[in-house]
Amino acid sequence: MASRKKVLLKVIILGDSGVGKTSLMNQYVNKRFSTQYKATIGADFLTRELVVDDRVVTMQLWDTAGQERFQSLGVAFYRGADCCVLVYDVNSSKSFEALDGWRDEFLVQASPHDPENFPFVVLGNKIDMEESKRMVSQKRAMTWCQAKGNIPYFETSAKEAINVEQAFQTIAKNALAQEAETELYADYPDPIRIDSESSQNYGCSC
Amino acid sequence: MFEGFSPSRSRSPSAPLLTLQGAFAGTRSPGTRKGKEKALNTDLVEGVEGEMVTTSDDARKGLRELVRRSTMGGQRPLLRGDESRAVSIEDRAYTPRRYYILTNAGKPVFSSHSDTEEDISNLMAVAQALISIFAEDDDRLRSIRRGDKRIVFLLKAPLYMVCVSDWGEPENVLRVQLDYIYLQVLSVATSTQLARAFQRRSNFDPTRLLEGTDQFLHNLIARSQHDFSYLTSTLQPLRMAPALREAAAAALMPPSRIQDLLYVLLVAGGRIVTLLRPRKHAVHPSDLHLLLNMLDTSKTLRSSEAWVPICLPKFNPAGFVHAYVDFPLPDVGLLFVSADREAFDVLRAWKKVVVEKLQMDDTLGKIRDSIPYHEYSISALGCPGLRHFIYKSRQLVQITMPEWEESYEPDGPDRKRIITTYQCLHDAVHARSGQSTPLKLVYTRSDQEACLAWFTKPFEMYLTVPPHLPKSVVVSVANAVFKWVQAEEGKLFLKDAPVF
Repeated sequence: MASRKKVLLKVIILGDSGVGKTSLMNQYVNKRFSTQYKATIGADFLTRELVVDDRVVTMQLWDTAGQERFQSLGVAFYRGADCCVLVYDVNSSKSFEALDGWRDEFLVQASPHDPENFPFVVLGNKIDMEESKRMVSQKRAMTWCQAKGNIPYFETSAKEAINVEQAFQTIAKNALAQEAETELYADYPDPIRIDSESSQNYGCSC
Repeated sequence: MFEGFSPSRSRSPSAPLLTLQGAFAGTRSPGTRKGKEKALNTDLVEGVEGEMVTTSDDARKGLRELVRRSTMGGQRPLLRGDESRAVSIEDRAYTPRRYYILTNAGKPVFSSHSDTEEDISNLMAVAQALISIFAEDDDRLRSIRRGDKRIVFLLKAPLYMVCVSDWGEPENVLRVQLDYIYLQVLSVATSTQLARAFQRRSNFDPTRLLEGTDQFLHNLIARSQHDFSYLTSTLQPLRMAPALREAAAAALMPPSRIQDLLYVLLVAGGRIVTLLRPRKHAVHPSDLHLLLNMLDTSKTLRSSEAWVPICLPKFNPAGFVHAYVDFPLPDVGLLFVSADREAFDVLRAWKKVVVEKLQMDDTLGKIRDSIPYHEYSISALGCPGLRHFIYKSRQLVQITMPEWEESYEPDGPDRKRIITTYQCLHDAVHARSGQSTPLKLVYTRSDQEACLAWFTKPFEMYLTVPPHLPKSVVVSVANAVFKWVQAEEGKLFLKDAPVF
């Protein structure tokens, strides 16, 4: 391939087991939904291209296992993420209450250079279920998101494909906004002296 | 280090002749091996799924075990032990190898193949996830075997290099290639630049920084797979009359007023005619390969005067030197490498003087006329049975080899098989794949041919003969090659190049 001129965004999806992380990703990338539940083992990966403000963006989605036994994938796994998507099930208070933990886990492991402004997006999934089952109100969710630095919030249904496109569009947009030009060329390396003793150290025996 | 470039070098010692008596004790032909390597099942993602649930409750531990199991067992050198490969070397498919570069965040940087963006992105994410599982334990993933495929990783954070191959070569061969790829990247973006960029942002995407390097990488990858001077970290200079080489070197001696020169090179037909360096600096063949690859890849450089910043990582991975490039004739070029960023005008002026000197007695024209005579046929040795050989002078850190016979088509399976066999032999005589002791002499035979590797202090030799040639004849062939190279040494190798 030619060197990518496009931007690639690494997006990590976190949340409790069964909230629909894989389903959201599948709906977004493959436009498919399956009612069968299959736990993600460790991690899964999908990629989709999209256009944000006239820029072609490749979104590399890192779907993770929500089950506790697969948690803590480690520093190296989260390294260099451009955006983190926190998913919960609006019909499960427990999955909502776990968001704090997921967010902290991510910040500790990924240690982004500017944690205050790191782009998160929260998705409240499974809004297609009947209203009586709903456990977390929109207001409660939005209050939490506001308290955590105005995290964008979407209510989605992976099953009915509600808000999925919009949510991921925002994810890409916010991740992209963080992507600043790094002024590499301003780095003028120290001049090299051919005669200097130090350059001798690089001599090898090959 | 190129000890041979030092004028004080002693005469090349005459190597003891190879005798059949005892020579083949302890060597073994792979044709007789039995048994199958354990079946391995690491289909990166699917395999993981099937195994993990039963092996461990911990994702990382389970994955690690799985990968580790597949990694073991694949490390046996071709020429030892009773365990054989699943597929013998003569039946291999030789699928084009795939090479990738990714960041330590799993972002793709380069791919040798034009797969879809999606495929590459997914694959790089999987690669990074696998690497990260081991990294958590301060361990480093080196390679994965899956069936005939070998996936080799070279971890040079913040970049990772990966190669996928089914050629059956030793792991070290791929590691050397990946290292060249890494050095090629460093030649454009120094290790300091990369480290700083990733320190600032771990999600840094270096593709823009490396824009325009694709062609250099593709060219380097193509060469490093078949050019033995890459694997052996040697040079193969232009074969030419020694007196002409000396005349060129004399013209290239820099005046003392020019400071900070690292290399002065004359190349013809993409090969080194002569090379001058400061007395106290060693020559690093891999740095020279980067310079030659640069000239080979870029038509622009060969067609107009240029001043190119380049990092020569073996010399100094932290900064750039500058190369003045000019081709007085279409295929004959001068290359002056300087540490002084401002030296363009000085070097340009000196180049005119050099070219004038080279035009006296038409040295330049004679060099150009030598290019077509670089290649020599195996028949030049007058040695019946000999099909091909590679001779490495360990003292001069240079190699010579004849052109391939017609039956070994470029990119054909026959040539690939012999190159891979040579690589296996090279590995065996250098004990690069975990053998306890290096071998001095290795003989291997297939239905198509027999190959011999002979390792001595002053030289290494790899040769190919018909499969049913008696071993006593193989021995005499090896001795004949040695004698021929000794006699031709002055033409084949760059000896006693001046220093300044």
